[in-house]
Amino acid sequence: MKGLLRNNLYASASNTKTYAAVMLALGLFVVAMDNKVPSLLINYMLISMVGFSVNGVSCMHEENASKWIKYKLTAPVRRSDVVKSYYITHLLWVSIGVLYAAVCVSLSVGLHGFPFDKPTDVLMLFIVGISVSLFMAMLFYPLIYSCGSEKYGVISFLSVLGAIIIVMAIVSLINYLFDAPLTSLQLVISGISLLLFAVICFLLSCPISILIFSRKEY
Amino acid sequence: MDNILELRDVCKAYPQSDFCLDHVSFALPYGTIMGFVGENGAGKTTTIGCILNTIRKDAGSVMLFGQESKSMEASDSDAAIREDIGVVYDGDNFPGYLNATQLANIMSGLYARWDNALYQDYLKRFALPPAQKIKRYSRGMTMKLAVCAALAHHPKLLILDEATSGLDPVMRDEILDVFLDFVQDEEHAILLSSHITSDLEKVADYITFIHNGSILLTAPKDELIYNYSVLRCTQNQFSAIDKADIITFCKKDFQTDVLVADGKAAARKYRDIVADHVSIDEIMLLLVKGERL
Repeated sequence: MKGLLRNNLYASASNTKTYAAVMLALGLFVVAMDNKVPSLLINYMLISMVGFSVNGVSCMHEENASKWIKYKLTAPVRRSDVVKSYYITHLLWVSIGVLYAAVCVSLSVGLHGFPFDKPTDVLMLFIVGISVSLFMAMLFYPLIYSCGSEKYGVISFLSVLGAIIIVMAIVSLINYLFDAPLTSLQLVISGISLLLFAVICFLLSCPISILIFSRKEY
Repeated sequence: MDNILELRDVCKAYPQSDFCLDHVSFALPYGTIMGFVGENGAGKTTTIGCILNTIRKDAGSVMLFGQESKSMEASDSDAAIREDIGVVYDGDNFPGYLNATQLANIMSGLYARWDNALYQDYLKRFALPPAQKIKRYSRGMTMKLAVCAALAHHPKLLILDEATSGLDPVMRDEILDVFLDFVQDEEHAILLSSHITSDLEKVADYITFIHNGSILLTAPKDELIYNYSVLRCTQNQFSAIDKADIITFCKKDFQTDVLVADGKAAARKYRDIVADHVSIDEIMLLLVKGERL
């Protein structure tokens, strides 16, 4: 597993290094700006969390140009471990995205004060960002194993789009179930439910990807 | 003699094409190199895929180190078996974004017996720059790197799929010498798939011919080179040849070439027919293009 994780990190490193540098510059800009209109901060938080995840999945695309996938299967590793390593790496990139967003929010709030209506708004933003990233992975990995990594471009686009649609649908359902405006408790319960659902879908997607990958021939 | 690798009636069909592996069987003894010969699309890579479980076989068995390799999902025992196998594929084995040092970092996490000192020795021996991205390597350099990586975890069996194709003669010679060194240890063996028969004439102990998914012939190389002959016959001479002596024959405009297993006996038996020594290339051509009685 150690070798597989190192491989995934090397594979996504070059894209992610560039993305991390851009997000760092953008983060400094967001922190420097007055946050009376919080849309800049909101967008930064969502872009950093989802963007790092998208960069993370790029490792599958990078590997496709060689016989590396086939080669790895001749090494003493289980196919299930190959798939698990991608899911673990994905969680790592989501965490880094969350870290970027958290640092930016903390600095912005420290310098300019709290720009949101309620503390639960910040929590919801993190939950939405993490959920989109997890739903994206839930769709991406089974699809890439089914359709082949040569369709990386369209699958990654559809996965992000699908994840956003799923989150929007769940948020619409929450708004339908509870009368507006939602209390803080209702918001927290809704947010945690959304996050739990995303985590469950992400975890359930892993054995599905393993099943698909175990039938692939190279 | 014990076998490090043994295939028994391995079958693999592809419903979307006519190609299938048809009861492929052969055995590779310890301490030997087997050349696995066939034209493009003959089934060499599919057979190797079945051995390495990157392809699911429909039937038959593959024994590695005396144990049966069972499924595509490597069990713990299969994972242990793979520890003893080094693989080199034709072309780009490794992603271009890595350099040789990063590759070693990955490999050391995959193979329990990864020997970084040995790997560095091979890099020096082949003059491979460790910090240069693999995508900037020439084809010969990538193949040498693949050989370094395959040897650096102390495998017992090397499986090489067209590992020397596309290399210039000097580089091929250099790599073939490494393979010969490797089999000095009687616990080691190499399955070398290639259609460059001159390489096999240099290093192989056994040659297995595959055509259209079927094994045509497996024999010791020396037997093929020193015993096998091709009889150059006229039509009348061909009619007089005992059918039991004919392995395969190929009719040309004014001559029929007949492949026989015992050239000396054939020369004594058919004194008026010219019996020529035969190369692996010519045997392959006769087996593939020739007719059988």
